Amino acid sequence: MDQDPRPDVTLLLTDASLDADERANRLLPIVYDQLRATAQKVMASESPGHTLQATALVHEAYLKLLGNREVPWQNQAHFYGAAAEAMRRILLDHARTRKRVKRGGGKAKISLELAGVADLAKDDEPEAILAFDDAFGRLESESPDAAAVVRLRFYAGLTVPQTAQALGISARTVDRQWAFARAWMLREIKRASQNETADEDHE
Amino acid sequence: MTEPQRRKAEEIFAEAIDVPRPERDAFVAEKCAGDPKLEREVYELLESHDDASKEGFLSGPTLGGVESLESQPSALDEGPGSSVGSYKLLEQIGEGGFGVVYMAEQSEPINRRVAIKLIKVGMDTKQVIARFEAERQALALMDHPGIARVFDAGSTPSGRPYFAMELVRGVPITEYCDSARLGTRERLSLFAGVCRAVHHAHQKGVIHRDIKPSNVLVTLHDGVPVPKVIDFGIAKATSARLTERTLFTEFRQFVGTPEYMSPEQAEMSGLDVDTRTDVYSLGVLLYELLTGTTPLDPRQLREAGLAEILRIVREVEPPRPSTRLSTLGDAATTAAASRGIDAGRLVRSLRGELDWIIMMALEKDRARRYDSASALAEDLERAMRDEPVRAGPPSAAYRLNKFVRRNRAAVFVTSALLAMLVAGTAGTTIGLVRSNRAEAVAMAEALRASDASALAAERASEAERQAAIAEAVNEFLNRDLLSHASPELTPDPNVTVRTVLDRARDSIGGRFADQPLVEAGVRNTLGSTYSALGLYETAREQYERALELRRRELGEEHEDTVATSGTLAGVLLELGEYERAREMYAEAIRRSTVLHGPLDVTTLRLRQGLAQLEERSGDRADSVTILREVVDAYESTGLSASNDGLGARNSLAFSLDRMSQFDEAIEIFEAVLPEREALLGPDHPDTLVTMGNLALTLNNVGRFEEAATLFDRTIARSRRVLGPDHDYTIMLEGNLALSYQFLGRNDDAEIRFVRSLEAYEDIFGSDHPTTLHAAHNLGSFYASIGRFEDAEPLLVRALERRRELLGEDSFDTQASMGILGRLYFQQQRFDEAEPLITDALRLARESLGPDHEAALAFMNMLASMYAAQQRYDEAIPLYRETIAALKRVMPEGFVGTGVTCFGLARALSASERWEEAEPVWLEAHEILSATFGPEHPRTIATIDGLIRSLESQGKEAEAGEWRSRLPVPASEG
Repeated sequence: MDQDPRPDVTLLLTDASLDADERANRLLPIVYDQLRATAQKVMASESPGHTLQATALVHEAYLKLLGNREVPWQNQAHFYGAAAEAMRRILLDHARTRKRVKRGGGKAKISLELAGVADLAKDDEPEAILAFDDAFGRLESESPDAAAVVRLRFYAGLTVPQTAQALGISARTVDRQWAFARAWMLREIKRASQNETADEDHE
Repeated sequence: MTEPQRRKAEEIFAEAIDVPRPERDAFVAEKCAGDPKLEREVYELLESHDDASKEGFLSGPTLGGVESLESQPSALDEGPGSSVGSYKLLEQIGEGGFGVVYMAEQSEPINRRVAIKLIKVGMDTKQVIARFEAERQALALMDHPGIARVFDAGSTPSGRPYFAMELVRGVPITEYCDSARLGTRERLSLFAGVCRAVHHAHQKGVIHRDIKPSNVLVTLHDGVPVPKVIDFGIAKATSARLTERTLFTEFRQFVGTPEYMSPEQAEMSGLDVDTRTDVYSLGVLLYELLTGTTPLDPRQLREAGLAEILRIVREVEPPRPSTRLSTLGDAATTAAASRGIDAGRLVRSLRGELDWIIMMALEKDRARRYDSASALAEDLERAMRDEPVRAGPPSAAYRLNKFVRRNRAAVFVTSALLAMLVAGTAGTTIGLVRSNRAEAVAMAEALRASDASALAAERASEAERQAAIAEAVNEFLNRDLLSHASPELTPDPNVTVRTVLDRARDSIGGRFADQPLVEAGVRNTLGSTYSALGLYETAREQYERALELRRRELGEEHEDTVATSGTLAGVLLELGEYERAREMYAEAIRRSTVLHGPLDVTTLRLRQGLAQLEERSGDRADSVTILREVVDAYESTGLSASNDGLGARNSLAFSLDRMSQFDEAIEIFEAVLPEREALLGPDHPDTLVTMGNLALTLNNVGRFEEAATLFDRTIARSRRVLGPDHDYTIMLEGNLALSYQFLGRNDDAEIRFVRSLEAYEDIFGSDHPTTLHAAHNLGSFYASIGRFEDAEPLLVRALERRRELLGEDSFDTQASMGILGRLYFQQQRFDEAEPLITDALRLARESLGPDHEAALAFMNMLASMYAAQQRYDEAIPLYRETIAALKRVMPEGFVGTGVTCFGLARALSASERWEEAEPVWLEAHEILSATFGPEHPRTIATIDGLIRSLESQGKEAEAGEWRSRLPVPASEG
């Protein structure tokens, strides 16, 4: 494993002169590339059906980019923010590709077993990922705080305490917002799924 | 819904999920207070929340495994009140890197309280359960009051694996001991109970794999503390094998408690752990119980990355408990206080036996640990009864040897010397190959051993003084040498070992002014280590000082003094100081004969050393004579089939080989081999040495195919027994390369030559004599197949380094000069070749005598070079001189004599001195056809030469007769 931290990433994380958007804009492509490379490498070497966790990927990417270097948590949080966004895009790209590949086999019913949504190699249901992402997008506009929790926990795989630290809120608040987001998103997905089925019935 | 409404809904929802279900409706109704829209929203969310839990929505991969100790149960996961299988979770009673432990109530099939361990999300539940199922039967067989039973494993509704086990209401053993302020003895007896319990599990075939204080709980039964080991079978079920590709998640789980991890668990090789892994962890636990801290610095481990953690666990030798305590400062005072004594007494109570016992349990090499947990318990109980314990003080020599072994120092030294006697005809060369100072080294080892056993014998009379010396030597080495060594291990073993040794040597200074015998012991050990590293000059200094001290303190006659003389002689031999070495051996033998008798093993070993010296310094006949006497001595005492007797016979055969008495050599090797196999087993290193020697002799008589086959077989065993990186294995590969070289399998040869050079560089560093041997051999090989440009840098470097390290008196240096000279000669660079070869000849004559084989080889080489330059008037007398000497020294029919005759005959023919040439061609033909067979190109070349000289003299009839012996029509010229 390449443990050499890339100095640019460490700098990006710790450079106080950067504003948040600037930092995110510069961080995202690096993290995205690294994540995608790792994901592809792992998927290439895995037998089909093996589950690959987004969390593991993100941490692998972290190690690749920063090694074991000590970075203050607040600055690490920038990384996880970028990683979450990158992961989300990778999942989406992947799901869209898979969906194209699967086209012709009839429209698959959206499975609600979204627990496995981030199992990249177990992607029989790209629709599930797309539906999840739609719901997440709506959550972001409806309840940005809860979405921020989902972003870090789901896409970047942070723990409750880590998420709490990164967002500067209490662990209890993270738990509550997580519970809310979970309930809210599931309801959204179910609704969307029913609407779609209804649309199909009209055709 | 308005923004404030939505926020409100979110808030009420979040509170409601914490409200017990029966009261939830009332709670929501009250909070929403007549806002039906809000109330509906909250209800929908709550319903969706329940669905999410049921369907496992967003419960899987999100947590990964990054939670470590700060893990806390999420409100969304199973918690108090949830049902898991037939268990109802009550309250949380513990947590760790793996997850959370709950007290739970079981209703079916019996009503009881159990502990439920919920493994955190992120593990493959199916695999965990499958692994548990695989061990379930063995687990069921365990029945011991010291073991908490594991009842069941399964998967929770949210998909997490869980284990149900006997509920133990206790505290970790370390906490218990400290809070009860138990003294050392009480701690030991409690701990012995833990060992017994673990041993019971081992007997049922269950290995714990994760013994640590939080898995060893103490409960009170009627006021009596009873240890109970929990979590048997769980580590195995939950641990995925660590591989290179292990992702961060597993990595964090994996390093949950590196302090207790055994070195073999830290191997990435996937080596299976066995019961001795638990013995190691028990050792760590005992260490902690007695000193209050773990052997490996937890802070250092916490700060290290994965690779570094693994390295520390595998390599860093912890200080002994007593040493650790005396360096702890305040922490030692605290540790002592919780044991109800003062720090000084605590240190004293550990020093000696307890130190030894713990260190034996913590051996990095599991073969050196207690082989079972009960053996550890028994030794502790012996210590408590003040009986002698099985674990001994790690002897200084042993410690160092171990240290050196980790760094792969020399045990067997290759000495495949010159393929140069036969330098005559450019292009084709035949090698005289030697190898193997194994016997010399083995002897030196044996002498060191006898040094130690002498020490032991004397213990009876002056036990205390000797023990004090041994202890002081150990202390010094452990503290000054090994403690410096551990943190500094760098990838270049030679440099590190050397640095460390030098530091230890320099720190001796005047600190042993009052304890000369301690200093002698330390110097002796340093000497043997330097010697093992090939740093003979420094080794000599240490031995000289040790000898001086022992002479002064113990007198010339004392057996320790005599033993030191013998070891010093061995180093002098390596340094090429044959005269002094001979004197020392002679004196040591005389004194040993007086002390022990002429037939005693010690005396005989010294005589074997002397034989080695004679052999090396050129007096082969003497060497054989001495060895025959030694072999006879063993026979007369009925010990010829003993290990020592077999060793002597092996040495004799080796010397006979060097005398070109191959038939007898082979006969003896072939007799010794099955005896060693029977006595020591087919895989014993000594057996392998005999096999390797036999292969070498087969090689020397030209039975290359057989030699290669036997080398191959020996290598296979050696790889298995000693390891692929062991220097003996590598030496064998180097020798196999020589067989291949002779078989013309140049590609096979090259691979092995290169590999052995690289391996030696890794093991010994690039300047070690053995590495230089390998460079020399590879260079010679390249030279012999005409790859001069590859050969030159290797040979130049070998010469430079040898000159610097060994001096010009060393045969190795002279060999380098000769072989490089020959390379230049092959390249027609005569101006560079000539001074090298003449210097080599002069030096060899000075240090080894005019009749030594090396001197003769250089003479032959020089003569060949003169001939190549058409300086026949110089070449011919030199050839004649060489042949005369060879006939004097070597047996009849010696192949080198034949080859030299070949050179002379060619020179004579080239000068058209046909009459003189004829008998020389004839002699060359006799020897070469006997050695290589009638159809070998070289044999045929002699016939060719003979025919030409006959024809030139007009002896047509004889010429015709010879022509008819040619297998194919003779070619012109």
